[in-house]
Formats: sequence, C-alpha cells, structure tokens
Amino acid sequence: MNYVVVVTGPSSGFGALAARALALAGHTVYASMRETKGRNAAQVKELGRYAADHGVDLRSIELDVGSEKSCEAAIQEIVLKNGRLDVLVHNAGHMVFGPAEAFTPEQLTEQYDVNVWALRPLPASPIILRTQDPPLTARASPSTRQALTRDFPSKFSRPSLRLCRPTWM
Amino acid sequence: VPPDVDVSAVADAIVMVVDAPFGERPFRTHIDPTQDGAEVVNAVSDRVRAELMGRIGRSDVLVPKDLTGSPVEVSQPLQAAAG
Repeated sequence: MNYVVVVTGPSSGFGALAARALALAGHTVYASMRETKGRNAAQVKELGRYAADHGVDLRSIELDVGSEKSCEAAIQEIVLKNGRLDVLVHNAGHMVFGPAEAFTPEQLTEQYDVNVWALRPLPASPIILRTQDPPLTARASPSTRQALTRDFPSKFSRPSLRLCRPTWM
Repeated sequence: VPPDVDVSAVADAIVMVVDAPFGERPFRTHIDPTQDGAEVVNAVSDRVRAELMGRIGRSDVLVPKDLTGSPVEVSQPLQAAAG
C-alpha cells in the first residue's frame, strides 16, 4: 500500500534516514522543513538528488512545526496534490546539551516550545481522519523516561511531551 | 550507546510500523540499544493506563477504529501487549 507521508525534522539524524527509508519502501514522502529556500536549500537539493538517483517519490515542503499558519499551508498543499495524507512521522526536535545552570529561562522556553508544544499532532489530524485508509501517526521518541543531568534541556522536554500527549508517547 | 549499533534501526522500525496492516500495528515500538529502562517502564505505564481506561468505561480507545467508527479486530490488544 502506498501512503502519503509527512516526515518532520528530516534534515538530519533519524528523520533523514526515515524519510529516505519510507521513500525506498514505495511511499510518497514529504520531507518538511523550514527555510527550504534559505539555509536548508542545500538539504532540498540533496533530497531531490536522492529521489532522482533512486527513482523514489521523495519531496521537500516548507513547514515550520511551530507555526500554525505554516502547518496549515503545507498540509493544504499536500492534500490538494494527493487528495489525502495518511501518515505523520513527527520527528522534529532540538537537541541541546548542558547543565541546567548554563541556560537562561528564555532558552529553556524556546527549547520547550519546539520539543513539546510544536509536536501536537499538527492541523493534519482532521485530514488524516478523513482519508481512505484509517489514520496513523508515528514518531521517533528518545529519552521519554530517563534523564541525565548533562542532557537537561533536551531531556526534560521529552517526559513533558509524554505527559501532555499520552496517546503519543 | 554500544559502538556496533546501526543508526538506521529506527528508520527500519518506522517503515515496519507504516507497512504493517491496519489493526496489526503495534501501539508502541522501542528501539533502545542503550536499554535505559524506558521499555520496562512503558510496559507498566501502558498496562496501568489500559486498566484505567477500562475502569472509566473508555476501553474503546484501546483499539483502532475504521472509518465507520467500528472497532477492528487487533492481533495485539494494548492490554495483552503491555501485560
């Protein structure tokens, strides 16, 4: 079965690998990221090259998970082109390491915004619920249970996400 | 993290979940080469949550539903998988 998939945070790490693996498995994959024409232009080019080299359906789309307007625009574009959106691989997040004292409250808030609130199931959810195949969401989710002090900013946001999205984590 | 771990294990697991037939997808999949204990704690947490849902009369949320809203047969119900 071919699914239309969105992978958030596909520029590096698990997201980059997941987007490529899903495309190789025959799915239509939208790798969503910010600044597709700016600092991530090279990523977009690289994804295009990968798609051409492997003959797979891997595309880039502009999407800032922290912006409702941006999310809606991207999801709308995907549904207009494909008539549906089946799978959301919500992988976006920031890794910041260091002891708690090394960060300002503003920096911690920014981290929390990206790693917790931005990972609500996007405005995509109602659309996924209306698609032919029943809904599915997936997410790579490290560190939801254990935290080491040196990992403080990233790791405290993971258990928080687990608590506020219990059906996800 | 052990040095011989293949980072693509997470991507492979995501593909496996996506490609699994509806009703047979696992509720939760762990790829944790560090074995930090999340798998053990989540098993307990999922079981307790499933029991709570049952007690408050919402065990309907423990199985996926098709587009008509009817629950489907699942090969690994949450309670059984967690227990």
